[in-house]
Amino acid sequence: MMQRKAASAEPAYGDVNPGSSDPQQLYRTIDWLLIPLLFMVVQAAFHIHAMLTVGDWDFWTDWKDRRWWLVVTPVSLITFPAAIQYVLWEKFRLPIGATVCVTALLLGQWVSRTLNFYGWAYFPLNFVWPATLIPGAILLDCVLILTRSYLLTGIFGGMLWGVIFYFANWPMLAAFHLPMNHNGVLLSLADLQGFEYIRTGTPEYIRIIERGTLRTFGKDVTPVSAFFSGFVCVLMYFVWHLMGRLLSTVRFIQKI
Amino acid sequence: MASRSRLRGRLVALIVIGWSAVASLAWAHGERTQEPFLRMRSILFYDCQWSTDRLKVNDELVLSGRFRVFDDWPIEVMGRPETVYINTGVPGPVFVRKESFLNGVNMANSTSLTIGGDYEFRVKLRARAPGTYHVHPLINVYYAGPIQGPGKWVTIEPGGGPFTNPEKTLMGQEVDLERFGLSTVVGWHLVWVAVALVWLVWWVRRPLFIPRYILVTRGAEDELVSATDRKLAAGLFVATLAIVVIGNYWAITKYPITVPLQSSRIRVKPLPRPAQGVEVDLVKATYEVPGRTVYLDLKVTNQSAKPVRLSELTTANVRFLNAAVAKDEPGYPRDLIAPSGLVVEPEAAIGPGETKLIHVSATDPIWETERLALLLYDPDSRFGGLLMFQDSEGTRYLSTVGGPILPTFNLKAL
Repeated sequence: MMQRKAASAEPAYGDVNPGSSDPQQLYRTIDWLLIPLLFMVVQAAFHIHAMLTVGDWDFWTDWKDRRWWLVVTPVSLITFPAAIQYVLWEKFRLPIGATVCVTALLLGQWVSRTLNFYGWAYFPLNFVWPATLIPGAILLDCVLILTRSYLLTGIFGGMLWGVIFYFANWPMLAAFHLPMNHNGVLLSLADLQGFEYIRTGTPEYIRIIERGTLRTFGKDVTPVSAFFSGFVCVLMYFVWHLMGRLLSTVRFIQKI
Repeated sequence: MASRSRLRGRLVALIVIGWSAVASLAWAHGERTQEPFLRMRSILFYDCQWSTDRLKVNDELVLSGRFRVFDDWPIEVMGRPETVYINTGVPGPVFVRKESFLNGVNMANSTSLTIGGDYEFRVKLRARAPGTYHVHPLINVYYAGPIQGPGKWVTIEPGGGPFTNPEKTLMGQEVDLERFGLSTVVGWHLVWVAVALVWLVWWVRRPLFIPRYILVTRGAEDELVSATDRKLAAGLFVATLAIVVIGNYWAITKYPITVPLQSSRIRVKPLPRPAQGVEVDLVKATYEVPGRTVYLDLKVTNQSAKPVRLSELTTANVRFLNAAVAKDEPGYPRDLIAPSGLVVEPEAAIGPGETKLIHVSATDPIWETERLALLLYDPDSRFGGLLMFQDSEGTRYLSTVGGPILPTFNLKAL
């Protein structure tokens, strides 16, 4: 009787298992077990991905340039947010996938920069701070919940993710682009950091910065690079959205 | 059973402790593991000097010297030295590099080298982290990797106050490069983390996984996102854009003049060569493995105006001195010098305009300790080095020597 009544009634949030005396408590216990676990799994996987694909561009201030850093970083790092966003929205209607990913990544990066780069290798933290992706992630998640469309999220959210990256980080980076006179040579403060804080395995010439053919734009190259980054991010979003779709299936378990 | 388990535990502990006791620390930078032909035939360092080997935090050390870009540079393996960075071989920023000059030109950026050219470097370092470190001149060469000069142990002692790194911007602002801008970076990160936490906590505060999953599978997902959720999302969307705009306005106002990263290449001419010198042709070179001796038969033509004698052979940072001509240099790393390791026959000086055949032997265990004997296992078993001739007034003439070298095993002696 109870079961029939429960089945006929409209399902209510938090009241989905009428057979249990206190399902909410059980669900919350499972939540609190899963949240830190999943957070750390995402953090570890995404951090490794970031180090392998973005690497030096995010490690050092003297790699954070106007042409490559703002393209490579958002394009490489929209991957996990797009995939996780699909899983959390599709399976749980949670519009927090991108924010979870970048917050986890940021925490992992700060731990690494503090313990490894500063504590172990002596680099000052103002030379090795990570960029923030949180503004792009918030926008991506917000576009998803407001439009409830993956297509629109990919197009508008992906574009915003790429475009906003440089401008969201500029308040942190601007101080490191102050000009210096270094024995008659003009350097930015970031260049000077790279020169003074010795890296035997990362010589100056290995930096992939300010290279390219966007020369006619002069000093206004940043918006062009940012929009290019946004465009590639749109494409990348859909590739990794599909990745999330493929990897969140239970098809293989059913076969077993 | 329990005692066996305890025994096994003790055995493991004993092995770990024993292993720790005999394991040696990793010193220096693995310079000996580089292939010998690469060390002998690329950058030949000489006249290297360290202004001190003991200093306090904030004190300065000047590392100076010269190098010859070997004439027979192994282009087929390393390409041409067209992209090169004058670096310093230390374990990370235990020093900060305040200045670096190559032939008097500021080396803040990379450069190119001329094969056969001589260059003079001068690097000013400031001690930053206490400890004892192996300090080398170092040349990074694109396609070849780092080529280390000779390394000397330098001790940085505490004291001299906490390390600071004052610099001045073009606008006259004085900054401490150790921590400048960090509070701004941390502040902005905290702002964005706070925004992210607002969004995450908004969702995490309610039951997450199982009830939501069940409702989604039942097709009731619309109940999981309320109008309030959407209003918050819209507000956060606008707030995020607003913070970015305000942040940029703040940055542009605070730092109105900024410059992009500088990535130019600097051209440096090699040092001028003296018109008259000493010309050397290699006739034959052998390495006697058990005797740890390199024998060189050389045809030497003295084109200078005075009699000269061979004083030194330098290769891969190792120096063999002819004690009859050159004095020992106590300041040079003792593991890289053989003060009387060079013997020349005949001993007599080579007169002006004279061409003479001389037999040179360079003997020392250093060939083994520096792992130069491994040349025999290189894909390019050709050696290289720098010969220094000296006249009676102390004027020095440098000549490179290089070519194929054959091992002799002297099996009877074995």
